[in-house]
Amino acid sequence: MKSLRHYLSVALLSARLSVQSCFEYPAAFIGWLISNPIQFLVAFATIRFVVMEFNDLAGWDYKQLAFLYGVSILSHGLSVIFFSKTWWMGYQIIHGELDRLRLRPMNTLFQFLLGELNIFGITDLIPGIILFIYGCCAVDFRWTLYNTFCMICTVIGATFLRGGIYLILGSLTFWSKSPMHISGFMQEIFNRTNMYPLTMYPRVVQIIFTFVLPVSWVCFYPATEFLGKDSMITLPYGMPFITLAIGILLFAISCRVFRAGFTQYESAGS
Amino acid sequence: MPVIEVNHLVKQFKTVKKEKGLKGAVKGLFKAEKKIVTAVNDISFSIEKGEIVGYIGPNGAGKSTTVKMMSGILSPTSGEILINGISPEKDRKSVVKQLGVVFGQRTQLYWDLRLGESFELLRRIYNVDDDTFNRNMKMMDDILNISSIIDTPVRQLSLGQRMRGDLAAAMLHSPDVLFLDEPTIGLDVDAKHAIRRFIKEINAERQTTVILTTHDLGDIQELCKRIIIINNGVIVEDGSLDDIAERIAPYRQLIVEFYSEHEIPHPKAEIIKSEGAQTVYRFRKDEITAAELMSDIGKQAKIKDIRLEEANIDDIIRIAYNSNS
Ligand SMILES: Nc1ncnc2c1ncn2[C@@H]1O[C@H](COP(=O)(O)OP(=O)(O)OP(=O)(O)O)[C@@H](O)[C@H]1O
Ligand SMILES: [Mg+2]
Repeated sequence: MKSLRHYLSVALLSARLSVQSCFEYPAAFIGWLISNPIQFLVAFATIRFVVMEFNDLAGWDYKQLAFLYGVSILSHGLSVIFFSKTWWMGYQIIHGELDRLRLRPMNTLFQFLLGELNIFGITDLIPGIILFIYGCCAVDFRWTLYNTFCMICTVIGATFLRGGIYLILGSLTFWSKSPMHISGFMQEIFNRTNMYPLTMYPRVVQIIFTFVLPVSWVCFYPATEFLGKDSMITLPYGMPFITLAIGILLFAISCRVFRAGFTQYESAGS
Repeated sequence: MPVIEVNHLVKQFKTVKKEKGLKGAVKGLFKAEKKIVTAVNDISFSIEKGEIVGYIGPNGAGKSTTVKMMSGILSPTSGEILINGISPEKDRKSVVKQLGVVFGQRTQLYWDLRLGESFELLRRIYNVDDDTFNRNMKMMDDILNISSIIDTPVRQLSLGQRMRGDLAAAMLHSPDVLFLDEPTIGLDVDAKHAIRRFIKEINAERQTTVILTTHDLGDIQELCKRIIIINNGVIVEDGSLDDIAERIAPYRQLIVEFYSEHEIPHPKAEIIKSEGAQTVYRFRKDEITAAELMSDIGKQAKIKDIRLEEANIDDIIRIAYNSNS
């Protein structure tokens, strides 16, 4: 209990300091604040044009696609704030920059994830929130108690799902000893795939993104439930909880992988 | 009970042998040749409370690797480390609570935070109470003049300022043991002096045990009663500077200036240089005293001036470094 309070107070102070240090670079922040939303708006416009051309995509109309994308980008924004450090952890590993985590009397993964938040991720989160609200309004999402709860499970689950996969991929450098930039690529897979309904893709792809690399649980499956759409898997209800379960499971696995990886950590020669 | 005990410590790094050029790089992708580097090769020592130990050796000797294992950053390949009876490998958190660690080559502070904010965060991490924190800050300020740099972001500090910040940060939680890996690297005379004074003072006031690696022999002479010399991952000497000098370079030099050119041999001293009226004799302390040598020589020619030189610390260290390479 005491240690939980201790961890919480360190996390809060770290968060505050992360915000402060982010404002050390106001120009960079403004740069991201302008360029990042544009990226999402362009993607969004693409959806719009595609739908104008074909009327619908695998039975999803424009409004439903907006909702799908909004849910996806909201969890993207959150995952950037909490997990984006895993994208460049390969460099930190080979350059010996994780020494500090070992020197402090706290859990290493806690320090790694919450010791420094990427406040620049707010520039992803803001468009995420806007798209999310827009999408919810477009499909007239009903904020009943149950629906709200399901939505929270979806977004939290999706954030952990993304983060877990990023952390696993980043931790591979502990063994490979040379950074691999799969995480940036992975982020693209998450965001691009989830722009469109999974049912649009060939069946193998559907199977892969459902069972092998559970990308589509980030928003597609929960959205089928919210919107009453068909998919490869038919369940009467419970998709958001599966998303949450997969997210927590992947995150738990990634914690193990990180811990195991750290035993291979060799710092750097100087 | 010793504060630090190291038994048969070994650390090996597996590295991939890279071949030259693009062709080699491509080849390496498919057939990587593994090479094992033994950075620390079976070392043992123990250190008592309140000692200041100089841990020295040539570049690549294995000093930093040893410090990293003692501070829990690296796991040993084999062997055992106990800090106050606890192994950093088994119970890292308990061990590091009692440690202050400074790497001169790389700051442990937070690059984008002001120094004061870094301290605030460390204070929270180590759960330091107000009294202790204020007392420590005051002491650091007295010796290291921290208050002049406390509002500067760490990335803007000069090397010397940053080192002062790192030292202060390492002391915030009043550790029992301090590991300093090249704390005076790249510093000017004043900054070095401040850091030496700091080490002396915390050692005297708090009985803090200090292990210090350095290439500056001034640090050693001024601070360390005991030195451990490591070379190629093996300890080659362990003792006081005087004892080591006695053992590996038990020489002194007597420089004699006559009124005219002379070359007077002596059975117990070797003439290593003779130039004009000046002759340099080298002799072993245990064979003859300087006074005897002088009076023997004085009987044969009139002496104008003399100078006595101890074996130079540079020479001693150089001999020790070369003894195992
Ligand atoms: N992370 C690492 N990976 C591979 N080899 C390493 C690593 N760290 C150190 N080494 C090797 O181990 C040996 C000892 O290195 P170490 O850094 O301990 O030397 P040192 O005594 O601190 O030297 P210096 O005085 O130059 O700082 C060197 O040969 C070095 O190349
Ligand atoms: Mg070193």
